[in-house]
Amino acid sequence: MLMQTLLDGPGAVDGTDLAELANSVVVAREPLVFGRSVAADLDLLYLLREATSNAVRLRWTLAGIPCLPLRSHIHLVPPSGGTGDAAAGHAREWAAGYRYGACYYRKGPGFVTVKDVRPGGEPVRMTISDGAEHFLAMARARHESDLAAGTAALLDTAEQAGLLIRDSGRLLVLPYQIRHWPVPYTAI
Amino acid sequence: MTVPVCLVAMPWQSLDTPSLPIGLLTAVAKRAGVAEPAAYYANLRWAEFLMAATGDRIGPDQYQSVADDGIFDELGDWVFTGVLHDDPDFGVPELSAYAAEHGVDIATAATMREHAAAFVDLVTAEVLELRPALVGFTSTFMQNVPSLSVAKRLKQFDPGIRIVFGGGNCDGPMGAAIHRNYRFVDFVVRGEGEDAFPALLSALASGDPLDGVPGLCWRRPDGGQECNAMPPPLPASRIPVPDFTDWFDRVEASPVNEHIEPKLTIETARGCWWGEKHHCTFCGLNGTLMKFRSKEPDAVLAELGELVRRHRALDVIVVDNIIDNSFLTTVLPRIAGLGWDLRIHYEVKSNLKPEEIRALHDAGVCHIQPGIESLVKPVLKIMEKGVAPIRNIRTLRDGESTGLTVSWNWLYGFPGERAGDYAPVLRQMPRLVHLQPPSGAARIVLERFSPYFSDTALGFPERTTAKAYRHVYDLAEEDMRDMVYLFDTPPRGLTDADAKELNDVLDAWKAGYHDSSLIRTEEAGVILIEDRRVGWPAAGHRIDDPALCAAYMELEHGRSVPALLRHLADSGHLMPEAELVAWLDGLDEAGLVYGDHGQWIALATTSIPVKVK
Repeated sequence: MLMQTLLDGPGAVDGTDLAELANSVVVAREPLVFGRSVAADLDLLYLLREATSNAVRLRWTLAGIPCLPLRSHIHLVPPSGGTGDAAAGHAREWAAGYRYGACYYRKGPGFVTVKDVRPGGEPVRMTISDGAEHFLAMARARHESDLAAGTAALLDTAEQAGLLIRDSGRLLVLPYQIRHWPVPYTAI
Repeated sequence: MTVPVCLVAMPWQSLDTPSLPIGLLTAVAKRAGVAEPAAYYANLRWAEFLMAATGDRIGPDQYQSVADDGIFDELGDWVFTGVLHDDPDFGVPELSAYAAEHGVDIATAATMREHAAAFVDLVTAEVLELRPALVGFTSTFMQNVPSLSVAKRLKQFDPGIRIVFGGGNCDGPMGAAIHRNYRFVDFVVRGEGEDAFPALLSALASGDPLDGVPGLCWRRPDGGQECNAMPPPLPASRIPVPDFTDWFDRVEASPVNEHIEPKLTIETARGCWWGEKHHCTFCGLNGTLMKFRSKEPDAVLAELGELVRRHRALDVIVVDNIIDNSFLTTVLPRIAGLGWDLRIHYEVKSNLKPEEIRALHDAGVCHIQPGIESLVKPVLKIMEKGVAPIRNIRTLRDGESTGLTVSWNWLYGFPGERAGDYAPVLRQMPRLVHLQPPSGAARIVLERFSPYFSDTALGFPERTTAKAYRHVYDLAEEDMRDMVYLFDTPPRGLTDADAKELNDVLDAWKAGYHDSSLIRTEEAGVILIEDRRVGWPAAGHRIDDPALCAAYMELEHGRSVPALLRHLADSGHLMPEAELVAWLDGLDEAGLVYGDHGQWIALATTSIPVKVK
């Protein structure tokens, strides 16, 4: 289970299928510690991405500063505060720029659509037709070693397209799968 | 031999969807081998034209605001009426006076109007470049005057070109009146066009008589009008899969594409099964085609799959006036099983059960329009809606729990409506603040084809064509009467002062919704209710007595006290009535239930959707 990666951290969120927590509040008892390494940050961002995808209202506190620029995670459920001035400042900036539905993908028959309207860049709306199944495999994976050779061969392409970040064998597809539309549904 | 045909969608067709009539007629014409119609999307062209002419000051957003909000004031038709009447000032003083009287903002429409003549010339030239022998206009709501403007210009430039009109504005007597009032319109197809359109093309190609084309208005050589009998409703199995290829190609190359997300339109049924039993007294939307017909589940699945695959679009507007309820257990679970991230709009009846709302959600339906028009029981009865307020509230509550956007609008002004019936509703409305509010409240207008229109004994014997048409058409009342859809009547029901009180309460509801929640959870057999509604003290409520927990769960269905006692007894919880009533009074005092004519319903939702302002 996804949350098991955090067993040594916020024990309130462990071992539960996130889909069952949709639209409910989950409180992380301990801060999520960012900034130890890019690879470790990617693990934490994977959690936040899946929480956002499942519309889980994760209430968490930021410790440290992520190694990655804010734009890489501003579309993910933000911290409600930070420990220390620097983390608190980053948390405020993150929360101020966060908007549900700023960067997501949708799965169709043989294609994937991506919408990226994160602040600080040009709005992007793209349809992936050739290689949609590779994109979906990347979105499920956490390590490059999880991928079949044919998919791994496309990692550079996906990275250059701004769809994913990788470091030390770990990877994170940035857009999340939209599983819950907001009210009103046209807002994103 | 085939006839070169161009099908035109004028403003104010929505920018983010293809024209379903054009898609359907293209498909039937191709299938019959009588034409390969060219589609001309003048609505996209208009948005592009405005963007270029105003330096993007007027763009798709402004277009859509006129398209969405201008219908009852006829703003979209007014933009083009100066062109139709070859008079730049036609309708200007009339609209100015109308706008002042009704508080209508006409600034955007007025700016657009400055560009209408040049645009009509452009469209005329571009359509003529396609060298059609026949140009078809599909006209619904505010597409009449834009279409007539271009049709008239086409005839001026090429008198040999033939003009045909069809669409909702041409249903029944309206089509015959358009044909009578505008002689440059050669033909009008009244009713569904799937048979009539290819029949017309065949007749024109072969020189056969036109009297065999179903529903067609045409002219004899002496100029006299002939109107063929309208066809019977088309069986659903014969409704084709629309051909939207032209539109998706066109929109992809348009600068408008940056401002919209292209959506599919599909229809899974026509007509209204409720209207066949009890026609809602105010509703004229189905025109002459009330008979309900739905496609086979396999056909719906095949059409959805074909269109989604072909156009790689996951947003789907189902245009049915009401869902076939059998689809809730046949079609929807199969759509859910596809595993696609669809975003679907559907119109439904408002007495949905929780499991039906869940089925909608699971299939990717995220927007429903359930036809909730009021929460006042006597008024719902006058409307013949066939639903009680408690059921409407249940749909609002369960839609909120499931994360569906629920669109609705409050209607008032019904004959026999009494302000006194509103009092208990207005008093209790603040407790609904965590549920999705109506978009607004409006006095009903008299619609052609509605029971109120057809039967003067129902309360609207006096009627004139709606005043808004005065700034649009240069026609005498008797010429306009058969052509238009909306009529003015003396007001009935609520006075304007009564309506203000209603609007004030609704405004407070709308203002408080975003920050409100009332949530019910269960933990080890205990019910917990957290109240964070705007206007109510933050509170937590705990129900731990097993009998009261059972009573609360029964209240989620909506129950009277006797029914509640009966259900409790059936489940082994015997409770004195006085004790139950006292408990219910407590819930009432805390605003946790809503009462209506002896029925009570629990209001807490089971989750809070993501709300975005």
